[in-house]
Amino acid sequence: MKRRLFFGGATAMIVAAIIFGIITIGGPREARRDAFDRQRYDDLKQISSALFCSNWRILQPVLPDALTLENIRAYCGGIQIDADVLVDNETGTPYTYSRITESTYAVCATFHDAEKAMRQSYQRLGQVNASFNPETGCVTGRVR
Amino acid sequence: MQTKDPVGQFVRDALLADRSRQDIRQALRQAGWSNRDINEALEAFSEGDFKPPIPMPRPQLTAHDVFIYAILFTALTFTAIHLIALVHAILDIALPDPADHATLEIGAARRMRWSIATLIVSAPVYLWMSSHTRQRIELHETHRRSPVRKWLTYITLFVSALTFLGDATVLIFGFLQGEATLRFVLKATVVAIVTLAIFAFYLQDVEGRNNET
Repeated sequence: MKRRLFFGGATAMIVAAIIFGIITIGGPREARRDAFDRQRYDDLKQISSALFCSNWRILQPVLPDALTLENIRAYCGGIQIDADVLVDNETGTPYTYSRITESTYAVCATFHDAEKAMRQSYQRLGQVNASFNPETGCVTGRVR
Repeated sequence: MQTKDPVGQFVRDALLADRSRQDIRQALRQAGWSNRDINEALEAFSEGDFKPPIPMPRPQLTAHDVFIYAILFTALTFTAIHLIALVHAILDIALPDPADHATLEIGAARRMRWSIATLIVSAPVYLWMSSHTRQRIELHETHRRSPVRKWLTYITLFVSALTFLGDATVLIFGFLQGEATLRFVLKATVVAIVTLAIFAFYLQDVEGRNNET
C-alpha cells in the first residue's frame, strides 16, 4: 500500500540519517571532548599572541620565567589575558610553559585530538611568530 | 440574484421540483459543468424522497482543523528540510570536496546536531499527526473534504514542486560551475527523492479523493 510505503520509507530514512549522523560526528561525549580541545587550542593562540607583544620594538619585553597573570601584565606594557586562558578548563591544571631561550618559548597542552582542534578552528594562528605542532600539542614561538 | 453556490441552489430547486438525479446530472452536463462540480452539488443533498431535500453534513473550516493541519504540515516541512540538511552535512564530512573550502568540519557537525535535534522532535509529531488525521477520516468521511486539509495539501504540493524545480536548476548550475562531483550529485539526488516522494504521496492523496467524489 502506497501509504505504508511512504511512511515506512520516511521513518526508515530518518532513522538511518540520524544513526549515520551520530556515527559520523560522534555522540555528546565526543562533542564535549572536541569543545575542550578547541578551548585549549584557542587558549594557546591567545597566549602566544600576548607573548608576541605587538609593541615589542619600544617595550623590548623579556620572556617571563613562569606564566602567571601578573607576569603577563608586566611583560608587555600591561597587556592582559583572561584568567582562564592559562589553565586547561577540563582538568583545571595550568598549561606547561617553558622559556627555551631569551626570545623563544613553548606552551603545551594535552589534547585528545590536537589535529582536529586545529582543523576545526576558524582562526589561524596568525602572524605572531608562533606555530602549533599537533603531535606534541605545543605552540612554539619567538619574540622579537 | 447571484447566489454563492448557483449549482447547489439549482440542484435544490430541481430536487424540490421532483426531477430525478439523472436528469439533473444530464442538464448540468449540457450546461458545461464539470463532473466534479456536478458530483459535489448532488452529494450535498441526502438521497431519498424527503421534501425539502436534506443537506448532507458539509466539511467546515473549524479552528480544530486549522490547528491540526497547521501542526501537521509545519512538522512535515521541518522534517523534510532537516532530513535533507542532515544528509547533506553527512555527505560534506564523508566526501570532502577539495575545491570547496567553505564547508568546515565544525560547521557541518553543528548543522548535523541541529538537524538531528529537529528530526527527533518534528518527525514523531508529523507521523503521529498523520495517523491521527487518518483515524479521523476513517471515522467521518467528511473530514477528508476539510478545506484546510485541501489547501495545505495543495500548498505542500506547490512547495515540493518548487523545491524540485529549484533543485534541477541548481544541478545544472553546479554542472556548469564544474562542481559536478559525486557529493554534489548525491546531494541533488537526496533533495529530488524527498521532494518527489512528498509530491507523489500528497498528489495521490488529493487526486484520489477527487476521483472518489
